[in-house]
Amino acid sequence: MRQYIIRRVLLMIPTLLGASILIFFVFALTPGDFVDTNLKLTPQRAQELRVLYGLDKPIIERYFIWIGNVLRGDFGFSFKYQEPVSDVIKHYLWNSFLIAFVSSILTWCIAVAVGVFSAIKRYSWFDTLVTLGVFAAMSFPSFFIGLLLIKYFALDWKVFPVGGMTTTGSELAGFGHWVDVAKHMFLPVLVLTMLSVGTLTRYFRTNMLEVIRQDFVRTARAKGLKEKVVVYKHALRNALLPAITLLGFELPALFGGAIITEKIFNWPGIGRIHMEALAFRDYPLLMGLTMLLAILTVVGNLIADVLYGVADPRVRLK
Amino acid sequence: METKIRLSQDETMVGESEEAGKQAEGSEPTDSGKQTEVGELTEAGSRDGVSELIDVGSRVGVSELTEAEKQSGASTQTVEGIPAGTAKAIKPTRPTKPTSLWQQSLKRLLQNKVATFGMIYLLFMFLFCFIGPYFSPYLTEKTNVAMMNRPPSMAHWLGTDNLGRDVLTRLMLAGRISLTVGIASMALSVVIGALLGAISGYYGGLVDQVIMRFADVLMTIPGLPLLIILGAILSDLKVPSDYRIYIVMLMLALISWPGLTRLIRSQILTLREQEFMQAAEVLGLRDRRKILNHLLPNTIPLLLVASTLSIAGAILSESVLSYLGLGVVPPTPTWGNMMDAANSLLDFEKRPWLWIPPGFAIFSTVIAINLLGDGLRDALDPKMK
Amino acid sequence: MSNTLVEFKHVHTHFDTDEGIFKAVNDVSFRIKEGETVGVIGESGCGKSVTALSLMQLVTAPGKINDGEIWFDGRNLLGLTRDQMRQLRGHEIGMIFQEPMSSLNPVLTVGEQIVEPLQEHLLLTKKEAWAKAVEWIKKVGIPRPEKIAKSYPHELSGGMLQRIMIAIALCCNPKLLIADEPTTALDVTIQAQVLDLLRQLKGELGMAIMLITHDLGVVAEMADYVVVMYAGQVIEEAPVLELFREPKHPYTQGLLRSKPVMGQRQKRLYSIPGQVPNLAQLGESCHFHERCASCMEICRTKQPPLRTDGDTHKVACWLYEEGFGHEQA
Repeated sequence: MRQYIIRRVLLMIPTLLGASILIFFVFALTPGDFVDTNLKLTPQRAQELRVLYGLDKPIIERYFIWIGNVLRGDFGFSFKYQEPVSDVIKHYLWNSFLIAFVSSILTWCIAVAVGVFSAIKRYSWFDTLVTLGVFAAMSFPSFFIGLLLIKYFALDWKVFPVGGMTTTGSELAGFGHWVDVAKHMFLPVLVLTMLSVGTLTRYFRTNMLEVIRQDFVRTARAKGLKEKVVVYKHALRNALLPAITLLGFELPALFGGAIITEKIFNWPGIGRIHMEALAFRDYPLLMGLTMLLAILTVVGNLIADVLYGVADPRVRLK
Repeated sequence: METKIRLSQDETMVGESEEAGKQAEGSEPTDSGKQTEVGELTEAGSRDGVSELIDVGSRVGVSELTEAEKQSGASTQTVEGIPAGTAKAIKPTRPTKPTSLWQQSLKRLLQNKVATFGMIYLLFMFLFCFIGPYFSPYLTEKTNVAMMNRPPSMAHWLGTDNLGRDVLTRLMLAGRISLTVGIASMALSVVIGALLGAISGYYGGLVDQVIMRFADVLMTIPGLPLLIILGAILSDLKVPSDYRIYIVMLMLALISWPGLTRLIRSQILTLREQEFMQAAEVLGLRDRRKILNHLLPNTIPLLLVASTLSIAGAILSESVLSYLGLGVVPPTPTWGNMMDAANSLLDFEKRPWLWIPPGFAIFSTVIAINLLGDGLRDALDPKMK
Repeated sequence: MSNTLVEFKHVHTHFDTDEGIFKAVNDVSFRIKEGETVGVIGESGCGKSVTALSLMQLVTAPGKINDGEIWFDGRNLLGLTRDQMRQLRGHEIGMIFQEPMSSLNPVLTVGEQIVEPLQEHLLLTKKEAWAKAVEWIKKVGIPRPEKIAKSYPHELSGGMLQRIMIAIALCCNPKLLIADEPTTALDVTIQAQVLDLLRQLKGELGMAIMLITHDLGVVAEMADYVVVMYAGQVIEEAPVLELFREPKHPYTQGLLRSKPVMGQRQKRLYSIPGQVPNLAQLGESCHFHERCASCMEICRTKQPPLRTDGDTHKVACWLYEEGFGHEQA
């Protein structure tokens, strides 16, 4: 197991290096940095700024300077926020994490329950209904469902706030503050959950259908175990196992997917600053955020694989 | 013990003939020169001539089968048909003849009401977008200041936009672009994905390492952020609207090929180990032929499902990009950039006819594609039956 | 003669699929007496396994027991509620399967899997059940039982897993053990060991065994009574010695001829021509007529009934029907 982890960590390095090269060059080759776009600058001032930010150096050299800094945890300095990129990210990351985490939990609970149930009751009206619902949820463009919810729930019926994380100007603290946040969270979490629940439900249904046909499930029945035990102890455990690997994709995908949702609901997370940084062409911040997503993906995958190894006795010993 | 030996043989026979069958099917459309080869291969694959193939595959009537058997005489004696009665054997077997494979799949697909509905809806959507505009009196795209922002009426079923254009007509025209972008980018990514996946899976070694590591790198960056950044670069490069469509297609293909490559590669790895490929090996076929004629055709069902679903993904991604103003930009209309109207608070609140119809068009098209794709998976993948 | 334990009465189990109705078990009737070993033989796909699964009521969709009665120990199983039937399974009827590798849950230890029926049916506490499970592992001939109980299926060999399966099936002292091709997936040497174990345990526990196999050697070695199935029907049944000495149905004769005999050299081993018919397209004819060397006119149009021929021998063949048959040469 230890060897396996070491090998996986070593494999991560070239992937991340590749990602960093890709990210750096995509941005470096972009015409128009923030110096160019700021027309008010005199040519002299622009040149000074370029030197200040190291934009005058050859591109390969700039990459090595950048990656060297990244390795030391320094993602550069955000033009827009006038703060180190890592500070900006730290500041907003937890807000994103909050909605990502809550919607992940919701997604998994719903997906397991619904997926398993519709697999057991295959071809029942419940199954058909769920299948349709799941496909509907999967097929909504994130911004469209977000906009619809805002229009009806926030503007027309005024059940939930339009956006943001807290009511503007509210001085609430403690419990009141959390209620306020929860109200603001509701719609974005609903959108995020809707978007990801479909795929996962399908996944569990398919897995469950696959497992329920296995010989050992027949054995469990032949032992005279209660159907509940057969389904939940014998089948579900086996169906859940491979899903652990999905956890690795979950977090980065949620952060990535939350970009649109956060923008629409004006949620102060890294998704929203992603869009703002984009509008401002704040490249250090954008590079930092993209690199963060890449790292999250790779590390998430590693953790998922290790977890899988721990959970599955067949892999555990190797 | 003879019974036993025969029974175990029985199983391998079914497997082999199936493979050979699939192969024959794959190679069918090629020219006659290749036909002879197929014949040979089939022989090599099943060792017992065509009669078993027919039996295992399409289950033609028993009488026909016995006729064939009488002709082939003693050689068939050791082969028993499929153990048709067991639960195992009830799973539909893969047919041999190309017509019957597709016919059977189509039959299964049509039995699936939801998938059929999806297919009909898509057909309707295509007619709506590509033929529909010719029935519209507002095709000229002329701006009409007097008719700005009118709500739906008899003259304009879905109202007019802020330039006085008919929303329904624009919806159809936008659909043309959105559907085209979705299909074209899918086609591109399928070609790239299938070829790279096949090469990677077939050759292994260094080639495989290079391709797969590159795919890994692309897959570490979630699709949407990457698209958004590329879209922003596109804006900075000030690409004209007409060309942007093509670049958006390229971008969408760029982010979707790694997944497809992985899928095809793993399929090829399994196929490569099977008997019919060893037969191809024995015949000393060229690599190119082995890959294109024998390996890739076997991945067609998988590719078909994956590409259907990838159209849905591409349409969704395009709509997000265009909604953000980073994809296809006006004056070329797409469903995504029509929804840009929702970015203005006034339009968003008071003129839902500007943004709900394109949103619904995206949603309904994507759900129809997804339902069709799911139906196709069921129909083409007998394993899940 | 001892009492009847199991009686199949005109059981029909059909699979309703897209390609037609597969009559996997088509009007099957036979009995198993207490403490008796009945071998059910036939080619793959002749309905042996489905017959056993019908008894357990574990036929999976689209399969369904459409008609008939299955009596077990004085009760008609098809009349029981699902819960009553469940309590019978693993308790009074144990079952082992062909593939020990896939028949055990890969994520539970074998000990946990033996404990389950003990807790469910014998209402033992967890601790008692564990002790009993270890005892059973020892009983089925596996050394170091404490350690084995804590291992996962993938850590054990096929032979050991089949022994574990036997332990699971027998730990609640069932009256009947259904063994569905218990040795097919095993190496030849292991096969013999497993059969020996079954015989030994039968001696100790005295349960009846329904032994499903296509291996005539296994039947000859283990069974008291043999039922021959073909295309979902019983075509012949007789005590084992009688069947081997004087097989009546042409199919049974073919089966026996296709088995090599020690010390006898043949140029080519006999094999029955043709193949098992498609169970979805069975007609009114004798299902074997296409492959039968002694096929007569009536065989093509009418099915022969299963009739007693002699004292204990039953056969379904027109050759032995009065008025149709001509004694065989």
